Amino acid sequence: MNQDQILNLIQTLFKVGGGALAAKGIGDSSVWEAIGGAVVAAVTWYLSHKWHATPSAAPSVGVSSMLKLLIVCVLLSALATACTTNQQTLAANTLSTLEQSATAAVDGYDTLVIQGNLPTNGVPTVTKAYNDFQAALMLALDGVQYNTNAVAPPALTVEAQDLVNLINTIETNR
Amino acid sequence: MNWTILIPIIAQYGLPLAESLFQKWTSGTPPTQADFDQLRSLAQRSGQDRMKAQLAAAGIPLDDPKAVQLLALAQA
Repeated sequence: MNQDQILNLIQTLFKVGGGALAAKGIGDSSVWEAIGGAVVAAVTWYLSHKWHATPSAAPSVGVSSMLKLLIVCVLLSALATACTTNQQTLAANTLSTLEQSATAAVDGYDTLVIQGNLPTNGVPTVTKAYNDFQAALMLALDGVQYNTNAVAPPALTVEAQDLVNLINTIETNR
Repeated sequence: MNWTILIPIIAQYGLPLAESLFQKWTSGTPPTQADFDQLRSLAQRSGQDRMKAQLAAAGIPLDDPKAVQLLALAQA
């Protein structure tokens, strides 16, 4: 069972079990959701430390998986808040989240390279993918700032996904 | 964003990133000129800039042979 499966199992257990307990009046769904999140965080932290302590025992989830989670989060949040937030705010928040997520992913990758846990030969490719993403973000910013009806361009999400896939491939093949 | 998403982000990337993302998505306030200026400034960072920052965070001087090699690779 890999790390994704473990985390999914924990989340499912808390969702189902918490829902049942809440129905019996023990806590409520938000309390069990918070507890489930804390347990998932603890497991993520443990597996992350295990990974860094013994590189050969690396779990299958890494920086890139977290970036995927953030991108999904952006899309879900956009859907959830679309009725209450104006289009320009949504677009700007999406750009900001993608920027911070992509940078966090590259920072995580660079750290692993510096530590010697990943080979250096992927650095030029990852750097180019990040620079391409940044260039696309610059273009998207002009569109969003000067057009209140603009949406975050799908091409930018594609650039972010390319970066994710690249780092994911490097992590998998090490 | 809820805690199930936020807590792993905090564990992986630290509180500042999760906090800033949470604030952006919950405030609902329109972006200001300052917000766009800040984002534009962030978008100007290159891959080599990020490598320099991580080398500094690791306490490796930029003139260290390892740093020189990595920065050369990150010049793409």
